[in-house]
Amino acid sequence: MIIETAPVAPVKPRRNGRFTLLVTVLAVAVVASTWLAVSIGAVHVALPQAWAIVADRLVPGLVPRTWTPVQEQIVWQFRLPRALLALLVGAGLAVVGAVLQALVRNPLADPFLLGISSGASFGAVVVLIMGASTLGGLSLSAAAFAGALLALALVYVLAQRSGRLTPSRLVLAGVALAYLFQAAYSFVLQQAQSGRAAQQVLFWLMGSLGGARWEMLPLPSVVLAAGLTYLLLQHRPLNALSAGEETAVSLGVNVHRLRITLFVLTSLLVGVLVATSGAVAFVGLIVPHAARLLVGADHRRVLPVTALLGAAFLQLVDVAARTVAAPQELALSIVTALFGVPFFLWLLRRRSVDRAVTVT
Amino acid sequence: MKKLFLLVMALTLAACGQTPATREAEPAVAPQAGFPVTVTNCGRRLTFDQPPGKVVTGYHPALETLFALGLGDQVAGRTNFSESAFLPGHEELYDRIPEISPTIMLPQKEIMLAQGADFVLDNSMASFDAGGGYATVEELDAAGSPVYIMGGWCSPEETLAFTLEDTLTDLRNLGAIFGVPDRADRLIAELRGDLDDVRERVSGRPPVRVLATDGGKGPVNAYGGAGVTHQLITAAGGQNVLADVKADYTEVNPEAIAAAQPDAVLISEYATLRGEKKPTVEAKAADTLAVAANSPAAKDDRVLALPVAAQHPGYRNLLAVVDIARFLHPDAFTR
Amino acid sequence: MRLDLRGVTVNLDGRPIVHEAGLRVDDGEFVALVGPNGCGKSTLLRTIYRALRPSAGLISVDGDDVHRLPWRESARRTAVVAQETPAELDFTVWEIVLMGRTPYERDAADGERCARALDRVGLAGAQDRVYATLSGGEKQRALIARALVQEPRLLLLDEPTSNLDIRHQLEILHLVRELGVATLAVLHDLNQAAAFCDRLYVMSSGRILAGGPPGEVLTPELISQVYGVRAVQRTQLVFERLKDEAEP
Repeated sequence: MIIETAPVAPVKPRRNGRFTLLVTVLAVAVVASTWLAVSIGAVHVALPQAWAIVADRLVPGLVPRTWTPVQEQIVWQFRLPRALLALLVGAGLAVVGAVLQALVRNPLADPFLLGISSGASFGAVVVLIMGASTLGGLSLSAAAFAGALLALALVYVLAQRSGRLTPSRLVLAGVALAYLFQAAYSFVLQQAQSGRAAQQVLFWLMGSLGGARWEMLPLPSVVLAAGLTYLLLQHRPLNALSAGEETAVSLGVNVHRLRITLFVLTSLLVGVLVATSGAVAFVGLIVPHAARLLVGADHRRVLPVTALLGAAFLQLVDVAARTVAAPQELALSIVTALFGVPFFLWLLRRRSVDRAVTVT
Repeated sequence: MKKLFLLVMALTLAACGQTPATREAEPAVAPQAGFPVTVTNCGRRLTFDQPPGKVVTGYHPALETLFALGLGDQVAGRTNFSESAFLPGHEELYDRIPEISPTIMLPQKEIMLAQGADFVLDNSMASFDAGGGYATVEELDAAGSPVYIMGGWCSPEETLAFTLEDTLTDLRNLGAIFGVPDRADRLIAELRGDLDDVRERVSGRPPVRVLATDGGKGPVNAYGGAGVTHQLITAAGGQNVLADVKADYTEVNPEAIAAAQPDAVLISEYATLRGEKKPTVEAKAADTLAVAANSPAAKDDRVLALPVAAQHPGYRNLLAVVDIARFLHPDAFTR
Repeated sequence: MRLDLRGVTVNLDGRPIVHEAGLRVDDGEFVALVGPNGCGKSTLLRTIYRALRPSAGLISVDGDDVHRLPWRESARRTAVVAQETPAELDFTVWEIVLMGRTPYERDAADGERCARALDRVGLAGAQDRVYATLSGGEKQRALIARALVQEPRLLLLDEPTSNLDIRHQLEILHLVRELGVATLAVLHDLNQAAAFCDRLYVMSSGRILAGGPPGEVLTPELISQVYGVRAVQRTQLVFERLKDEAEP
């Protein structure tokens, strides 16, 4: 391809065309899965009607009203915000996983590695079991967020030494704190008088989008949009960091500041997302790997593909979670694990994992 | 560790040694008519040579059932009950019995075995799970403390098969075990009379569509078409809107709740944390009615708090049927 | 271009690894840093490219204290080819080389720079290969290409040939030598160091014992003092043979 005469013609990597095609395909998948999510559910609402309801809400009076208030409530109050939240949570957790895998240079890293989700779960369990008054009237999601922030602060304090965060300390502090928070919420759970309250908590801990409402969407949207924008702008430092700390330093990356920024950003994202949907496992672990299989390691490609893939994946997972046993609901982690565990095992059999895990 | 083991052994031996001694001694002095009695419970045959005199009860509905049979004096230890109101007259009886556990669960293994009970009555298997640190049914049996599980709640599957007949069967069995079969028969007849009265009053009336729930913004925690709560609704002239869901307590999609169009809502009442008297009914009702916003129940704000104690096997089931019937069909009870 | 170290002391976990080291590299020079394992030469190099901070002393590139420069600015002046290779992520050769532009704003000419650098190191046509699948010599050449697109005034090499066979070692050293960029290389092979460098510094136990042209510095006395081995004066002959082999 390169003719060995000077000047050498600028070369564009071949992956670019494929990348554009892939992003287009994934964007279509996101739209299609969302269309599916709004169209089907535990209660049958005829397809044209479902979309007429959405159209009427967006442009009042556009279509003649042929639906009942209940149908409108189902489509507009439950399905659409839930579908949009699924996109946000799926994209967000997947992107956090991709960033953490680069941050701690460990392919097994996922959003729950750093103790953040355990902190969030602790906040949620306190509210579910002990009542909102215990935490000054915080709602479930606010308490989960507060728990995530608490974990974030603790991990940060424990993991840093003279202003530096090292991956190994980050992981150790995160894992240790995760155990601490798990112990704390297990204790609260044991204090529960009723098996019913415990069952509710366990369901929440395994993740559900069933509580999605419009008012839950703005915060995750803003945080995800801001986070993703920042990360895309930082794709070159991210690449350098994932190639190794010293490499990144020699390429002019302020590694310590970047690590702290990434850590705080991912923690905030996890906190916000876990607060809305509970702890959804495996999305953040498997989606980034799938994305890298498709587009390689460059974060300029990995991040958008991860976000789109995560969004479409969780959308389909949630459709399954609420229709397979309808009208009963499955916890999301059950469904994600059904896909996640086989993938994880396959990943374990790959040589690259062994190699990466032994990297110090 | 070894010390602990020896202690457990000693306690177990003490319990073993004690009970047979009293058992053998008494019949010689005062052999009681009708004994020995054998009943079958959870696939096990329980034989009693004499009425138990040192009973330990688990979750409160078990104790209520003994109170209803006038057997409160035979109870030597009970668990805590503070999640909702007592049945009329029961609080005094409750206060007289030593509390051996501050929760609704039986105390942990060692304390439980040390009670030296000659009969243990509970209404689920949860308090006999070795994994939870509890004495198992077998261990208690070996220690001379036979266990009776009410309502046939021996396994998760069997809780789905519960009917109100199971509660009446429990009353009959307990009457036999305690040597008061006549008392039990009188109570059963009275309760059957109440059930018949309810059936008569509500018959012919359009069934009221009922949602029984435990709150939740989504998924909604609700009661499906199997188990105690479904039976209560049906007996009270209601129609469970989730009758098609093959479950007792489960997570239900909010769409299904919105579309179910209940006329009335039953909300489980209980405290979430030990020692707290904090009914969360209002908050749970608000969540549920927000999901079922377009239903008649929401328009009429038609909500009844149902103590969760009534949703477990026990005497209270039968009282709850009457309460629910009055709530669903007030006109039927004006005469 | 001038790299200047004065009184540089480096502590790791409170333990002094480098004591008051001083050295300099002038424009176009190839300077080697040699010494036995654990003498502190890699630590000193890492301190120059800011992976470590000195506890005392001054490191300046063109008169500016490296550790006070903005990170991007110091990376524009100094590029590194280290032994450590990014192995586990599936970057392509092109992506690895393009990383060299990290300290700069994106530029329409970046593609051309990368292509030129790949051509220069003899990896033209390998751009779409996954880095991890390259041979040891190819990896090292890709990293040199990355250093090239960084357009540094100073190149730092940390035992760039340690995992390579003799033929590839010589290839890499020739390549670097011909770049004409001021270079400070940590080398473990005294013969190679003597053959390729303009000057060299010898380190032992964290101190720089001597510096100057190889012929002056590498005396049998110094070598036996530093390495505890007897130096045999056949080295000249060995150089000749190696050079012949390396230049077909």
